[in-house]
This record gives sequence, C-alpha cells and structure tokens, in this order.
Amino acid sequence: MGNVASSLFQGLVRFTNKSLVKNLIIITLCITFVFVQIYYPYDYYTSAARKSNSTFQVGIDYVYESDNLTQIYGQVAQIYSLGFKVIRIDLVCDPLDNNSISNQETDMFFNATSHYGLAVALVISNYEPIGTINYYLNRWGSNLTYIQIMNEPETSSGWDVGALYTDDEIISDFNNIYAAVASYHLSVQYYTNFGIGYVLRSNIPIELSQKLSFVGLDVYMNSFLVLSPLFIQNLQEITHKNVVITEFGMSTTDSAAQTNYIISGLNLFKSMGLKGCWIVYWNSVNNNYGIRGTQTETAVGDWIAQNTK
Amino acid sequence: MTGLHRTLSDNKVFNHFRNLRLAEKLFIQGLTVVIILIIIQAWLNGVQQSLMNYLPPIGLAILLVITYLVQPIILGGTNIALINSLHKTRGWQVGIWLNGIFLLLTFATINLILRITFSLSFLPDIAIIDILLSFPFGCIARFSNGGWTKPID
Repeated sequence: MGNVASSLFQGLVRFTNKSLVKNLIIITLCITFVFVQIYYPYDYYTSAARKSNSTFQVGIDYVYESDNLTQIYGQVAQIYSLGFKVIRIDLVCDPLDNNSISNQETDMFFNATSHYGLAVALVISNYEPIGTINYYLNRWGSNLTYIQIMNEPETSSGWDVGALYTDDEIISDFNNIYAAVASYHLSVQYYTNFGIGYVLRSNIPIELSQKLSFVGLDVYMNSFLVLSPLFIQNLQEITHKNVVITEFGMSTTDSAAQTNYIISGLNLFKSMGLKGCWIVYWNSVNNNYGIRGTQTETAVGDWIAQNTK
Repeated sequence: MTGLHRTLSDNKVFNHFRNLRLAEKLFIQGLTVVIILIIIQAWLNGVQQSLMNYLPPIGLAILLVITYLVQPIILGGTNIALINSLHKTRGWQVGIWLNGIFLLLTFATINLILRITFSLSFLPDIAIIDILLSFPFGCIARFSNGGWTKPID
C-alpha cells in the first residue's frame, strides 16, 4: 500500500513538473486567487452578523420639496416611527422671498425634525451659489447635524455633459463652499460623498478628506454591493477617515428585488462595523427609488427594529 | 560552464546552502520571498498617498506599474535565482512575471483572509504571521517554478 501511494505521489510530482502543466496550474491558481479576492470579503461579512453589538445608524434621503406643505410634518413623523435616525435633504430655499413656498416647506421640515429629534444631513450641491448657502445657514444652520460639501465631485461636469471638472476646479469649488460653511462655526460634521468612480481619481478624496469628519460612499447596483467591502476598505486606507454609506438604493418597480437588495446591504454594512447607511429615497421623484408605501418600507422598518439600538 | 556558474559553484556559502536538507532549503526560500513581499508591501502602504497625489493620474499609473509589473518581476526573478542556487539547476519552467504575480496573489490572498477574518493590521500582526508561514510559503514558491538539471541549450 505504501509503495502504491509512493509511486502515485512520484507520478504526480513528475506530471506537475512538466513546464506546460506547471504553467497551467499556476495560471489556474492565479485566476482562483483573483476570484477569492473579489468575493471573499462580501461572503464573509454576509455569512453572519459579525459585529452585532455595534451601533448602526440608518438614514434616508427625503425630497420634501416634492410633497405638499401639509404632508411634510406627517412624513417626517412616519420616517421617525420607522426608526430612521438621519434624514438627508437637498438645499432648498428662496433667498429672495422670505415667505416663499419653498422656505415654508423648509420651515415645516425643520419644525418636524426638531420635534422628533432627528439628525439632518444637508447636501450642498456642486453648483450652489454662495449667497444661497449663506441665506440657508443663517436661517436654518443651527438645525443641522451633518453638512455634505459637494456631491460625488469626482464625476461632476463643468460646462457640458461629460466635460469633467479638473482637479483644480473641484478643489477650488470645495474650498469656496467649505470656507462659506465653516465661517458659521456650526456644531456639525462635514463630509463629502464619492461614487465608485473615485478609484480613477483617488487624489480627490485624499485631498478633500483633510477637512472632513468622515467620507461618504455611494453604492448602487448589485455588482458594486458585492465589491463594496473592497472599496470601503480602500477609501478608509487612503483618507484615514471613517466611511458612511451616504447613498444606497435601487430604482425598480420590483418591490421584492428592492427589498432584497436594501436588506442585504444593511446586513453587510452593519456586519462590517460601519457607522451607518443612508437609503435613497423616501419618495420617488422621476424615478423608482422611493420606498414610501412599498413592502420595502415595512421590511426596512422591521430590520431597524431588530438590528439597531 | 559560464563564469557566473563557476563563481557560484566555487562559492562556499552557496555550497553550504546546497548541502542543507530539503526542508531547510524550502524554509530559506520561503523566508527570503516573504521578507521581500513584506518590505515591498510596507513600502507601498507608506508611499501610496504620495504617489496618488503625484501629478494625478500619473502617480496612480506608477503605483499600478510598481505593484503589478515591477514587484512580480522582482519576486519571480528572486524565486528562480533561489531555486537555481539552492538546487543547482538552470533556466526556468514558468515565466518570471507569471511566477511573481502568482507569489504576489498568494501572499495578498492569505493577507486578505487574515485581515478580514481576524481584523488584523498588516504591520506588525499579519507580517509576523507571514514570517511564521515561511516554510509552507517556501513549498509553494518551490512548486511554482523549477529549473533544469540538464543543459538547456
């Protein structure tokens, strides 16, 4: 028996010692390792609740300006009752008319969030005039918890679609907005969110993160959800800042697919020990991202009740 | 016999290494490759930010070239040089770059699994574990390439 095993082993060694066979084995193993590197982090974190005791903050993006003024307070109450801790909003105001409808909507929104003790993250878009920012912060700045300076700046375009901003334009615009916001000395945390495309312009998050409290990563599509642990780890490494998922959602009329996608993402990000994940959107505006009134709303509410403190 | 081969054959250190047991040769080979990998990885971690900020995107391109072209060539070259020196062979069965990228991917995959599973940092935790894995890594490195005992030309 020993002789048979020995001769089998010798035969195997002789076979694998042929140059062609060895090359094929090495190439096959290389391909296998690449697949392991792609899938292992996602599989590991989704296979079990790894950090079940960590506090995890679920937020949602609410486009309140698309709702009626009378609806806003109730919608914020509904968001609160589901267990969301943060509402992310766009900068909506009219600096020229104090009593304009958009200013009344914003007043109504902040009345509701103050009443329910919800944190608010304000998105200052890439093209927001400084005068408008000043008006907004003067009037509602004290209600904010987070301020997002620019939105996915690495893919922002200048004068036409596809005409990407240069690094200089992004950094100077960021500095202008940052200076305007910082002059108010608000007790808020600053962040900027990046899309997956940041990997091609990694110097942008490195440069901007120096003035930020944390960095945001936007995750869309199943493929990037699978790859997100690699991107999150890379973004943490290059910026030395915590990463929060600031946009996470799926535009679909298939509510089951949307629910499955969002719940698997929440499980993944919580398992990775991230501070939070903010879902887009509460309400659909010209798209199918909204979870309001769908089975996703119920599923997310149940998930929050079971998984967050 | 070329001048280089004659020099190596006459070298007492190389002759001493050739007389070691197979397990000792594999350990030396693994340790050498692992130390090179750790040094390059630690250096890349240190200069990653500076390179990415250097004349973007030229710095990123340089980082990718160093990581996936220069590093595998260094590793593959070192590995076959060790095999030829320790086992008195010539030439190679697997290309230098392919052999190097295989060693790099093996190292990176082991490190990824350690980092994700046990939440370890590269320095010093994973580096120490890598050094402790020198012998199995030597077996993998020896398996991944080989020379010829007969003249190849």
